[in-house]
Amino acid sequence: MAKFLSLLKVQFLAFFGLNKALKSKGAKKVGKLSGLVGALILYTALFGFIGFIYSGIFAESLILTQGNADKLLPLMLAISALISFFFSFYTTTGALYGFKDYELLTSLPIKTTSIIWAKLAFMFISDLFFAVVIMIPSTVVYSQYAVLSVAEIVSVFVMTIFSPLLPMALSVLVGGVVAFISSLFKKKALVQIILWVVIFALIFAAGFFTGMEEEEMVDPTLFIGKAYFIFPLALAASKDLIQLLIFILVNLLPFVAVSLVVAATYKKMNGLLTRKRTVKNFRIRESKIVSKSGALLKKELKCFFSNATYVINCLLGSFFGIIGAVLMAIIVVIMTNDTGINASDMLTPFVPIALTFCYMLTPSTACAISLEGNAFWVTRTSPVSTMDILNAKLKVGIITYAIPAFLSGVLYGVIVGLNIIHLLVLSAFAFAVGLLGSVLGLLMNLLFPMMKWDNESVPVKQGAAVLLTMLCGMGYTGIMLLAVIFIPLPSIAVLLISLLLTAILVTLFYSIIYKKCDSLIAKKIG
Amino acid sequence: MLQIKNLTKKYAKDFKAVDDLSLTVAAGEIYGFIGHNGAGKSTTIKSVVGALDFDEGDILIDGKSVKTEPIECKSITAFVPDNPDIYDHLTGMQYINFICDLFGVGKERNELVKKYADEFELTQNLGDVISSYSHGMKQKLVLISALIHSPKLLVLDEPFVGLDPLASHKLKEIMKEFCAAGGAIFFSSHVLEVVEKLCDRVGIIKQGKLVKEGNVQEIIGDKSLESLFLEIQNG
Repeated sequence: MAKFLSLLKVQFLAFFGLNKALKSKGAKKVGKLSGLVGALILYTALFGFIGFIYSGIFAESLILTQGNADKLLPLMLAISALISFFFSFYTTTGALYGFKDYELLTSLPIKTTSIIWAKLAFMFISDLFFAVVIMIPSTVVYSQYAVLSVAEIVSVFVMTIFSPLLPMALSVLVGGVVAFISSLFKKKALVQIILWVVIFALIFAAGFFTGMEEEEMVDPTLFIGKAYFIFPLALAASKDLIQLLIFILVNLLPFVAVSLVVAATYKKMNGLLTRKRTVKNFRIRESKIVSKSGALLKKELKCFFSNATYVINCLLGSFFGIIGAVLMAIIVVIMTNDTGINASDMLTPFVPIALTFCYMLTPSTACAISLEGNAFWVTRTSPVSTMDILNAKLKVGIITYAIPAFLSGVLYGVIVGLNIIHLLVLSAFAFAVGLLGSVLGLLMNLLFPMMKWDNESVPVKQGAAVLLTMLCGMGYTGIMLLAVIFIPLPSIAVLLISLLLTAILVTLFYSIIYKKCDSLIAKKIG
Repeated sequence: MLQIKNLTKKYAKDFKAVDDLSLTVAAGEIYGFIGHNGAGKSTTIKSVVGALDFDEGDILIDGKSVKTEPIECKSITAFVPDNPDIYDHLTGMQYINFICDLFGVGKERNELVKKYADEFELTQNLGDVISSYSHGMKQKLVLISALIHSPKLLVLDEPFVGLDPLASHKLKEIMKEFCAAGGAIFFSSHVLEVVEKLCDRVGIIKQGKLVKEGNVQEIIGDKSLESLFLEIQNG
């Protein structure tokens, strides 16, 4: 137990640079710890607020459609389980398998099961955070519609604690299979990316298209209610003690079983994942000569596509942006055909908000400098300027964010049949937002670089720059929402103003990067 | 070729990692830079190669200032760090091509790759991703990519760490050939025997200050470099 706790402690100390903050001195310590506590409070408040708003919307929809809000808590539990599934699946490689201190840990006098339990316990605590910040506001909202007894509150509390276990077990299992299959190929990262995209697409399709009726597509409750198909156990959330016990066992037993399977296959899996593949009879061939900027871009693209976590994290916004734009356009077309009312007039003003949210979420640039890590000396000692290095990173941002954003705008406009001017302005705005996300991410990474890490997943998922960019993106989405609601102008005029504002911000942030990059790198990186 | 003039680098208000350090390395010369851990060697070296800003003084490479003409200085300098951290996701060949592209090496690169890769016995591994390399193989790759763009100044930080005896021997030969062809080498090492045998001149740094400098034979006299070094450190 002591060894397990020590392993867990080490993980906590590494999380978000907690130990570095604790070991800093004076004002630095206060600043770092305040930043960490502030970020935690902000995240809790943000997710709690989102949970509160969505619970309210779902409760109202349930009252309208079913006469009561009894399914609210199971529905929110299902959503938190889905979040747990994605979060755990996402962290299986890097956090559970293929971490850099593997050799050190396995050489210590610790049982493999202790290592696994410590890794899984850390994942569980992270998942539990999401479950709690979703379920507390949901319970508060539910209590407005029904009288909750103490026993019911305790029951919800217990279910919240146990609810991440089954999704975790499933995701560890699926993540393990993905890791195993990809380990059989030379281009592991590429295979892993393809498998992840296939799995995401399958879950997405299963969740949103299974038996979907036209009216379900325009009713958010029924739309999200498809979560039942993915996590039917949420239906067990009731007032019955036996069902509660079943719920606990159904969550706990698969988790224990998967943990034991992982422990038994752990060394073999790590061996496969870290297996070195070599080329036999290599011959030096004529090399293609490229320009300095071409070489830097090529290197950035190779870095991007060599890391599955990086790709998935950064392309998530683009993926949802394109899919979302197409789905929204289809909804507009169906609603217009069914009701005869031009649904485009109602929904198109909100498209820029959705695009802003998707394309300012996790740009590749927000961790591109951090990912240089200890190898940053290579480009810094080469005859290229700092802006050449940063521009290459920005180009990857444009390729992965601004261009898909533009495409989202075009697809929406074409499917809905917007007039050419509206389509062009919308597409230009989408491009500008993708560019803003990338420039902002780069600036944030210049201000908050994380050059020391044990695993590439750390700067990608835990970097302050990534988190701050995400928060700024959410803030900008809020501004866009307020603009759409409160500016009493036609939607195209609001869009033009937003385009102008976005272009100004892009210019401003880029000029800061241009002027300050050398001094910021000297100050922040050394 | 290399002139360091009154270099000062502060890490905190009252901590000078390098304090008013001046030295010169002429073309055709191998300069050994020694000192205990934390003496300021790496800070000096990183300042020379443009990886670290400095507070006072100047560094000139072939008459050009690192501060005002960094790109020109970098294009004639090659750096080999103490730890060969490079891009693990690239293959050895891709890494060399990347460096060649940045330094503007033309079609002659293929001949040069073949020459140096054969000398360091790395040709067969150039198609493999760097993450599969051992420390020594990475070190060899960094050395090849340092030599391939024919720099005028070679800056090496602990270049022999991780190299097998054959590669160490080859590197020493290459260093001598490089200087014979008019290049200059500024290198740090804790292996004092190598420094004593290989270098024309040596500088000893202690707490950021250059405490002893000169022709190797002149400054050690009938002692060994090791005993002189220990004398200075304990003194």
